Amino acid sequence: MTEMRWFMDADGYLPFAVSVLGMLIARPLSERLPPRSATWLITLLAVATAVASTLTLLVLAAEGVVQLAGFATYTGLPLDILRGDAQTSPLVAALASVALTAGAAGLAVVAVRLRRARRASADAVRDLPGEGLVAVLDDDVVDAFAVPGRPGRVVISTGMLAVLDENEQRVLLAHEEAHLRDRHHMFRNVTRAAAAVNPLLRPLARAVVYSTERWADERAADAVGDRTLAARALGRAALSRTTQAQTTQPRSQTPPPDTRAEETPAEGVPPTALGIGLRGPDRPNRPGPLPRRVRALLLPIPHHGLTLPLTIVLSILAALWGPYDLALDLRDLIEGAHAGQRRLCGSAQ
Amino acid sequence: MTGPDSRRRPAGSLESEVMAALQHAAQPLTPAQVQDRLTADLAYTTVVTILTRMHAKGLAARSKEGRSFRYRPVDDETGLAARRMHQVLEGEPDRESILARFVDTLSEGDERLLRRLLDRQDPG
Repeated sequence: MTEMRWFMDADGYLPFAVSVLGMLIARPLSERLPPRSATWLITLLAVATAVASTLTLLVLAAEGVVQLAGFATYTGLPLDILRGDAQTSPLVAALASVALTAGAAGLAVVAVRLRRARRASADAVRDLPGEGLVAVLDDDVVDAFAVPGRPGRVVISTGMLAVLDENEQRVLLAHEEAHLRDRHHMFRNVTRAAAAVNPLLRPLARAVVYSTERWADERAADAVGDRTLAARALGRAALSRTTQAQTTQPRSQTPPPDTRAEETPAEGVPPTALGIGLRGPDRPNRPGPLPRRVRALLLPIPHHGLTLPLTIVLSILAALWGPYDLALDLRDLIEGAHAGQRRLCGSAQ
Repeated sequence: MTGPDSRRRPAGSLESEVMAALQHAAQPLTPAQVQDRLTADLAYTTVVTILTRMHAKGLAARSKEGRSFRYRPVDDETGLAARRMHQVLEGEPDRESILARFVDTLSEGDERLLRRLLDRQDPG
């Protein structure tokens, strides 16, 4: 097995192969399935893959540990068997340990950030006027959002109310209520954490942000019984917001649309105009989420195909097979070493 | 002056009911609209009186529309709340997980695309 020593058991790559597959199908998943199914399936795929890749790294790192001289001394197992039969090279094991540490650090950072954001929003919600679900802020900026919490609140600016007619306002309200009722932030948080552990899963986390927006859009369309009305409400709100941002800030001073400066706060731009950066690094020439949401509302709701859900289920199984198979290999290695140890003891007597 | 059927309540509680009505309304309300939205059965003149008093106290802002005024709530904390909301919204790298925004500002390309989509739909 020496030719495999620079490698590892090929099954160990499965979770990473599935991560790459997820990268490729994230967007089609979020667009071609009904939004509720899309959200659930993408979340399941992201979580299963994150768990599978973490377990894989753990087993690989463990295979490195058993090849250390200290492990043989401590357990009394023969070092030559442990080193000779191990299918993971020490280099791969070392890399796995590094990746494992990076993943744990990433998860810790995201957990702290989410907690902080959560607390900040809880504080802000406490300051909101009124008691009911909806808080209207006296603010000309065209803006509206849902803040989850106990209880969650829907914040709508007077600027937003001013640009929508009464039916469109019902769309807006139903959309934000759906975010709270269906707990969309949970799906977003979970996939965000999965992507922190395994950065290859970031496209899946972005796809869930999109599919939860679509989910809320369809709920709103249901509530008013008119998908075209929902599309119009979205479109009017977005266009008004954009026009306002342009008049507050001449286009020449805003970053060119294609550079999409993600985290660079441009000086002098009013805070909410930075919403440009919120969409994440979509490719420049592809339409952003808003036109896609509006188009989706103008087209019929996608049917529940079987191909994509089946692909996801099979991918999840494949991803989980990787660490399972590696763990079996590790068990065989240790058992083999035990057998070797007994043989040695037997011949010594 | 309250209607004959209405129970007597302290003036403060009426005021907060009117405030709630203003805050839950999508747009500034005329006294008649406020009257419709109250659970208490109040006379029109009573509602006008309460609104006028709230305006005098700086609790409600009003604008003339036609022959009557339209009232909207003024809340000292509103400005603060708005600023804090914006801080939360813009300051956190993971704001998307916390705050689900209805719409974002569009890029130039998206704006063109969106206008085309909507024009095709509704040429009016």
